[in-house]
Amino acid sequence: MARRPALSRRHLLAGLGAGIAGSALGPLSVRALNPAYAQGTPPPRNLIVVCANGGWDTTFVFDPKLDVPEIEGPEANDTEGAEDTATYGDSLLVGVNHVKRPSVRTFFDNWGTRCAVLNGISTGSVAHDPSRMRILTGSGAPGRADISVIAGSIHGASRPLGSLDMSGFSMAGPLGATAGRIGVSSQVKALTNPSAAFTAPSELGRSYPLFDPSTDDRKAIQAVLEARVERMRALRGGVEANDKKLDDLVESALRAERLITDGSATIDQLELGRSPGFLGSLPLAVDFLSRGVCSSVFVDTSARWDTHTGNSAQHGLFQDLFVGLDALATLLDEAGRWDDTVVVVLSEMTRTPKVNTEFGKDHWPYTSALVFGAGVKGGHTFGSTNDLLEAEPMDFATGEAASSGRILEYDGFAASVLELLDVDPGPWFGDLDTFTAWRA
Amino acid sequence: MRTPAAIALLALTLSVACNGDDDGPGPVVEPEPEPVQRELLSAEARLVRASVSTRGVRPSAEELDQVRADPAALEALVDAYLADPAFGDTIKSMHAELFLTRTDADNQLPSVGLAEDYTANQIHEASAEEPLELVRHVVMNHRPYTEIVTADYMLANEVVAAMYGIELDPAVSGWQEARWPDGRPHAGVLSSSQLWRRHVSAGSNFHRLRANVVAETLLCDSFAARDLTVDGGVDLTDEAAVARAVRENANCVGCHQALDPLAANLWGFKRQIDPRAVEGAHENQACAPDPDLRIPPIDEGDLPTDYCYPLVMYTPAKEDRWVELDLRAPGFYGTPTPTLADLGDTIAQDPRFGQCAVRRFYSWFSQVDPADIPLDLVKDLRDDFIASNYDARALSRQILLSEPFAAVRPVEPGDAPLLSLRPEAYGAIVEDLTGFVWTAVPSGTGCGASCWDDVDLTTSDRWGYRALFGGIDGFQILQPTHTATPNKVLVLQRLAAEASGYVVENDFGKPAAERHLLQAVEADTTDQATVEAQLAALHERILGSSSDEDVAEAYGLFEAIRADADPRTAWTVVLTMLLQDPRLVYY
Repeated sequence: MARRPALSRRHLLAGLGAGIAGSALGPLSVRALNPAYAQGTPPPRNLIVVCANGGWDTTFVFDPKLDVPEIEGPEANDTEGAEDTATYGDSLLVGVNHVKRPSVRTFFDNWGTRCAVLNGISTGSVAHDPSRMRILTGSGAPGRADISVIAGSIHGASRPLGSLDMSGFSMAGPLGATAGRIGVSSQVKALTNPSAAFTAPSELGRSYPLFDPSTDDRKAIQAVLEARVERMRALRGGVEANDKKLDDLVESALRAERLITDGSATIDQLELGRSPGFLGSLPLAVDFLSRGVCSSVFVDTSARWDTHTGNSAQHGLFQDLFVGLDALATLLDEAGRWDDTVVVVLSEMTRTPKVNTEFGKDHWPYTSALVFGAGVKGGHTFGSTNDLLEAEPMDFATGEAASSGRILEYDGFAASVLELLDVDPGPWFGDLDTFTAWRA
Repeated sequence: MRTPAAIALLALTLSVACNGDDDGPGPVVEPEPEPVQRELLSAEARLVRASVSTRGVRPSAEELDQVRADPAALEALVDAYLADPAFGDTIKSMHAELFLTRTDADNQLPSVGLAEDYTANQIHEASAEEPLELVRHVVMNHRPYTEIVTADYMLANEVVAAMYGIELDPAVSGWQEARWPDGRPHAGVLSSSQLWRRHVSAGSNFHRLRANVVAETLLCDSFAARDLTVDGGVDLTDEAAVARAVRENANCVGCHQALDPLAANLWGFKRQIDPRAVEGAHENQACAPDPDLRIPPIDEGDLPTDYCYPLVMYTPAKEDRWVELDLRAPGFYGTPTPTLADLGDTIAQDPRFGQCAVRRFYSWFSQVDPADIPLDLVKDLRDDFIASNYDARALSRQILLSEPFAAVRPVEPGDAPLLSLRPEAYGAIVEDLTGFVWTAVPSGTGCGASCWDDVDLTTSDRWGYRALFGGIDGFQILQPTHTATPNKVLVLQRLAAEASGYVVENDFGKPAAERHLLQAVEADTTDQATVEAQLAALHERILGSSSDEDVAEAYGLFEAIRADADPRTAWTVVLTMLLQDPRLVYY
């Protein structure tokens, strides 16, 4: 189980190359420094988080309730009689509709025996931002790091970035020095490739960049800056709060430089001024992982799942989602990344059991997750909700409903995802019972 | 974790200590740790901290000389900074982090109809700044801070006026006091159209999210911070059943008994005005929302023309809709508030308002989480704040001159750590030093009603780098990051390089007296003494001080670059380095 290195940050940074000026900017290895990577320890795992922001209706796919009168699922307006369920593997049960969301069946036909669904996760809130914070960070308190960033800080310790946010929703908390974002309009491209900048205003009389330091220039600058950081540390350091800020500055500079040198090939595929969108993000995400730029990527489906009116729009949303997931699974397969990558597909909440007066659905504080990839016990649906769409207690070791069991809360879910990635959740969540049934 | 041997030894020690044997050693008593004395920054460093925190720029050389000569001059300079219009910008940024109205990446109203002559920039600024301008107006005019929830006016400029049909005094330019035209009660920011356009009430939320915004931002009491369980047995499509549940169901009452009366104050506001509805309304000759768009249908009392400029965000006839839904009457934690203005008055009198304001201001300046500010410190500041009649500038002064804010390193709870430069401040500092403003033209052709004019990349999230530098974007990124990140370093590097390239070219094209930074050298100067003198001056100007070590180090960099290039390039590299110095990035 991997933990963040027990050595001090300064020792780690020394191991990262004694600063840019003294390093060859070659592959960095934390293995030699980190006891957690001793012989026999599982190799690092990549993570892709796919967030369906806004609250998906789990009854459409993950938690079908076709014969439950108290719940108005997609079958409520099924004039074609196409609403059905399909089973994969031992127990993976999903809702399908060959007319309105055929991509769902296509995805599960292709990958169902390698997927797991987890139902009945309690999110503890019915408001978007608090629910999203809870399901991603495992906490209701702001300022925490989410699962993508935590996992990235461990498995991506030796990469240019631990995690990369392509959505805008990822939360780095205290691990900001390990995490990166591409920006809502892919602005990172102009930062790593200055010649790709937006047009300069005409009154400037010149084009950007007005100055573009060479790699040697940057090395020389960074050597001076690192010396100045140490002099500042002598004056203002000596306590964790200040030392961490100075460490973060040095670490961020190292990572920024590596992002320029090692990440540009993928970043240059972004189009400045535009978000890549969901489908465009996926090949880039796989590329970032394959090139070792980071070990976690956070993407958003770029769709409006918050269907307070016209809940039937969920058909199209799931259709688009599973087109993307099928493409993602295929990309991972072609890149040979199934064995070292976990994909977690989630949403911060689900929707009410019944439609409202505007044929939409409002917020409901439970959700489901779809996971596939390395170490996932495929072909199973774990956890459950009752006929009122409330989470049911379950045995965390088997995933089966059990009155003597417990409801999986958002903190337990986040901790369980970290365990699935061979990251010890203890430092983040303490001694928390985790869900283990989905581990192969 | 102690080893077994250590545990055994400890047990033995305690056993011996507690057995009452007069011959044995007494109990092991750890000496009281020496209280760590808080070391204070020098007067110059405190001035830098105060200047950047209030105005977003560093002190001038003359101001630094003043406090070097007389540290007591600090107070008068802080007073001057608090009176500087730039402090008003800081007040707006502080409240933008609170109210989340600066969302240029989302919810942007279109430039159509009566607003078609305005660029996307102007529309965005008008929308985002409308409630923030009111707060600035209150603070910078020494009005009681409580007026942010009691003001019987609002602030508008010509763009806001066009968007909402507000009457302005033609003799006054820019932002001015005005009134909403639709009969809504005036209660400061509580009456703001933009605040409630940002925080929508969707579906059957019935303004509860908005009520939480009021509680969280103004009272530091967030309902959403509480975990909840929803009783699946309640039929949420039956409004009567829901109304009963929120009054009677044990799972619901705890929050709803306070949340619902607060929400009931806001029924006059539309649930939302989606930009797509506005665009669609203008495309439709009848100005009715496009039925194919997935937006809420028009509420009872709304008209299709409400979505045409001037927008109608408030309808007095809807104020009592809570009655039909059998919800609780408007109130504030048990006190009836028949109108929005009554709500504002009641909030202003609530002790939590003053305390929350203190936490917000202290947190902004010190970058300490509001929840981590010691209660005794909050209490002292609050008592003085109330005694000053809620003078926000007096509160700010007290914080800026306090010892916890002047700590070299934090040793007590609430002490300010190294402070991280905010994106707006970095842009302002670079402009002040070099004359360079990092603007760009992001919109290409064919952008229709969404064309953006030149944008300042340090204050834009949609096109620029504010959020990437650690700011918020008000939409997805809701918490600032007060430390370095790889993105922040990339932005530092890029802006430093652009500004350096700009100032070197510009300076060497002017007489020395007209230059920003390079007054002592020419493009071909290489003699060591002159170069070192210029380097010392640059450190003084940019960082506020210079040491022999700084100069020697910078000279080494200059010579290393010059050896392979030329003096002009060397100056550009040196300036690029100086504009990323940790003493600039942290203060």
